[in-house]
Amino acid sequence: MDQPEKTDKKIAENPAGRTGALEKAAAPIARLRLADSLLNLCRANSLWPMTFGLSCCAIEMMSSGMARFDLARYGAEVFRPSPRQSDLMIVAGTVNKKMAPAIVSLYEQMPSPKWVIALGNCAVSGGPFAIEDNYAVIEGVDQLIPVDVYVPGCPPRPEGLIEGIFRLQEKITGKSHPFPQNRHPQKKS
Amino acid sequence: MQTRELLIERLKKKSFDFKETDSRRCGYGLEVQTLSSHIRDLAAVMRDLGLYVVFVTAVHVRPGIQVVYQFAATDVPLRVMVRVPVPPDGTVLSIAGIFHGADWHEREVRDLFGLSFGEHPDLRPLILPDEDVDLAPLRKKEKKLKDIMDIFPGND
Repeated sequence: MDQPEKTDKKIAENPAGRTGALEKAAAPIARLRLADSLLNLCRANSLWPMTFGLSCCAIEMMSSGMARFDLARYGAEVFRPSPRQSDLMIVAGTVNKKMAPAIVSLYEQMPSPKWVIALGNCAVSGGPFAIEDNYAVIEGVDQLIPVDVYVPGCPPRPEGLIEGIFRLQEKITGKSHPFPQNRHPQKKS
Repeated sequence: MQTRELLIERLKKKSFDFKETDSRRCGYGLEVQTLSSHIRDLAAVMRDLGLYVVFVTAVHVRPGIQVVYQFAATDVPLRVMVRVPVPPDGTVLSIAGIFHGADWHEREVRDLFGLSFGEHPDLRPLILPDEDVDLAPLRKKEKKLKDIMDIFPGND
């Protein structure tokens, strides 16, 4: 259960600086271990990502949601068109300076508990835009909001995003593959 | 008469400095050099012949920054490159009054190169974030400047 503290720390370092107080206010007064772990198990198996994409990585995100890769197998297919209904923000693509205020306010509008996946090199670190002459691109969305899982790639394949969601589930519940039925069948020798 | 011949005739009549180029090699068939004070005359000639603005941009080269326009015809394969050296005060006359579509192109050039367009109807910042409106990010450092003769394919 160290996740909320970690998030707080990240927010405190965040230059925008406004989310810290909000996050503290949202922290529970009392924690019941069993109820918490049960809730977290539910949260991990029903992540509701927000519907938005910033560039080409969004195409991979859409692909992940479609039939071939079928994110629904892991409970994360309910893309919500409103930050109020989402608990997972997948930052899929390049974050421009001009887009940054919108990203921060979207993040602030999401109810806690909430998580962020940085999808693709641009959102992770600026990717090909991290050069000396760069004047328009934020080099890594973690300069704006706390990021839980980084998925590198240019763009990452849908399997990459799905693996990122597994890692997030691991972070939420504290164990990998909290749902054994989601594990790929092992070959019996 | 074909648009191309008509255009060449009018350019000659108004004594513009132009040359014909090999469009298969450099992508445009005519290249015109003119001054900021004549760009409106030239734009009016283009408009009267039914050409449209493809783009307006600028290049920062040695000896100085230039505004670059490209016009094209709709009926025949004809592209015209127009180059205007920017005067020392950094202001080129706007052609937005002749081609309305050039309005936003010129605002973009203002953002990225820090140039100004005289008599532009509404030269507000367009694409850069609020804190960077006067950044002029595409201006090059002195070391990185290239010679104009090296970069335009029409120069042989």
